[in-house]
Order: sequence, then C-alpha cells, then structure tokens
Amino acid sequence: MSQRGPGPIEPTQKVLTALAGQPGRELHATDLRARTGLPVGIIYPMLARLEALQWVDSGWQRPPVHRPGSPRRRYYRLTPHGLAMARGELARARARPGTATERRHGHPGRQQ
Amino acid sequence: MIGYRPVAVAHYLAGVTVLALPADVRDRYREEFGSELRELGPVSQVTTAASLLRGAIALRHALQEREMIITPHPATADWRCRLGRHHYISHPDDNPEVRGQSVLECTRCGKHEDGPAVGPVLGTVAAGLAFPGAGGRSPAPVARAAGAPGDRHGHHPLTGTADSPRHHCGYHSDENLKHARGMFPGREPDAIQW
Repeated sequence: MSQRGPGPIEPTQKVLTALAGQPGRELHATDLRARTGLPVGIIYPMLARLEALQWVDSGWQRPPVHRPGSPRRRYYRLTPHGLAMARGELARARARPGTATERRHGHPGRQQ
Repeated sequence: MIGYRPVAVAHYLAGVTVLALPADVRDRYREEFGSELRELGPVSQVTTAASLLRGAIALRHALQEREMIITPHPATADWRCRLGRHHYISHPDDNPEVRGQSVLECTRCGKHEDGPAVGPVLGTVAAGLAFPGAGGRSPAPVARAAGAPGDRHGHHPLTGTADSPRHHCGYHSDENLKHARGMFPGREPDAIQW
C-alpha cells in the first residue's frame, strides 16, 4: 500500500524545521505553535500523521514536572528515522526555488 | 506553566473536538488539549479551542490513516484484494529457522499468505479442503503446500502447476534433508519417491 506524505508542504516544513532544529529535544504542541505560528488545528493532525509514519514519537510529561491533578503535556520528538527523513526533505525543499504555492501555480520566473 | 482553568466555552469546544475522535484516543487528546488550554489566557483559550474544533475532522482522518498504515485496511485495498483475489509472489523468508522456504506476499495490498502451519501430509490435505480446485484460480495455498516437505505434486510455488518434476520448495535444504531422513530411516533422500 502506498503511504501518503505527512501533509501539506509548507506547514509540514515548518513543523519539521522546528522539530529538527534541536534533535533529541522534545517539544509539546504549545512550543510548536509558538515556533511555527501555525494554529493547533493544523499542528495536531500533522503530528498524528508524522506519528503514523513513525517520523515522530511522543510521550507524556515526566512525573517530576507534572503536578498531580493537572493535565499532563504530551511531548513530541523526531525519531532517528524521522530526523534523517526530515533532513532529506528539508534539503530537497531548500534546493527547490520558490515556495510550494508558487510552484503549484506556476509562478512566472520561477523554476517548476 | 499551568495557568487558567479552561473557561466554559473553551472546555465545551475541546470536549466536542474530543468526541469527534476515535474512542481509543479520546482520553489522550482530552488530557493533551486540557494542558494546552491551561497555558493560555481566557480569550486565547476560546480561539485555540475553536481552532482545535476546526481541525477535528483532519485529526480524525490522520488518526484513521495511522491505523491503516499500521494494519492495511481491506476497504482501502485494491478491489481484487477485497474480493480475495490476491496477487501473491514468493520471496525467501527472512527467518533463519525456516531457511530454504519462502513466504507469499500480495503485491497489491501487502497481505501475507498465512495459512495454517501444517505438516507434510496435512499441508496437502488442508490445501485441498480449503481450495477444492487447487492449482486453479488461487496459487497461494498450493504454493504454501508445495513449500511443505511432504508435497508430492511438485507444484511450482508461483504457477501452481504440476508440470515440474523437480521440487522448488527448498527440499534439498539441510533441514529438509534431515526431516526426510527422519521420516525414512535408512534410505537416502535422493532415493525417496515423493
């Protein structure tokens, strides 16, 4: 079965850039929202897709930080496979001139 | 930072969002959204909860895709596979304990042919029971039976035809030679008539 990609190109690039910027560091959705400027309504589905592709794994906040009775944060980080894939994808994206939207609509003066 | 308790509207919107998700992940996202909202002020809580609600369907689809990627769902497979008409190909098994044998995998949906692990005689019988027209429409069970050391029909693993006098099933591998010696003590495997 063919697997679909993690989602729309530009938001995905932003999320992958945020996660790959500090490999091994775990970020929660609020961090990602602050770093990418994307609404959480986009971030959560994207994280779910990245998890499905095993580019990202997630885990609950560790007990010493967690206050009993309060909801725990869930942290996300790139897996080694995801880090390699993300770096490859981001390098490919940087190699292509223009934004994804411009490429999609054939912006004049830009390479397709 | 643990901030405000979610205001009623935000709490309600987040609750509706959670209800739109598959049942097995609702607890996870209820807690996750709750922690998200607590870090915000009252106005931001409402806008964030509205954003969560807008993304609920996308999140639901993403979670369903996750299930499909982990276990390919029949509804998404090729229509022929949904009808049980898989297109199996044979390739060597990675398991070193079954060296010399092959596994069958559908090229369209990735399904593995995992019939009952049966012995030399039962393999042939089971294939005949499950597929009375063995050798005809579905080569998979016949090929599995041919992989068993006791297959006497010389069916080719891929074609299911009985036109080859040679075994294509790893009969000459060490394990199968030992097995054959155990079944027919005192006789050399080459002399055994299958």
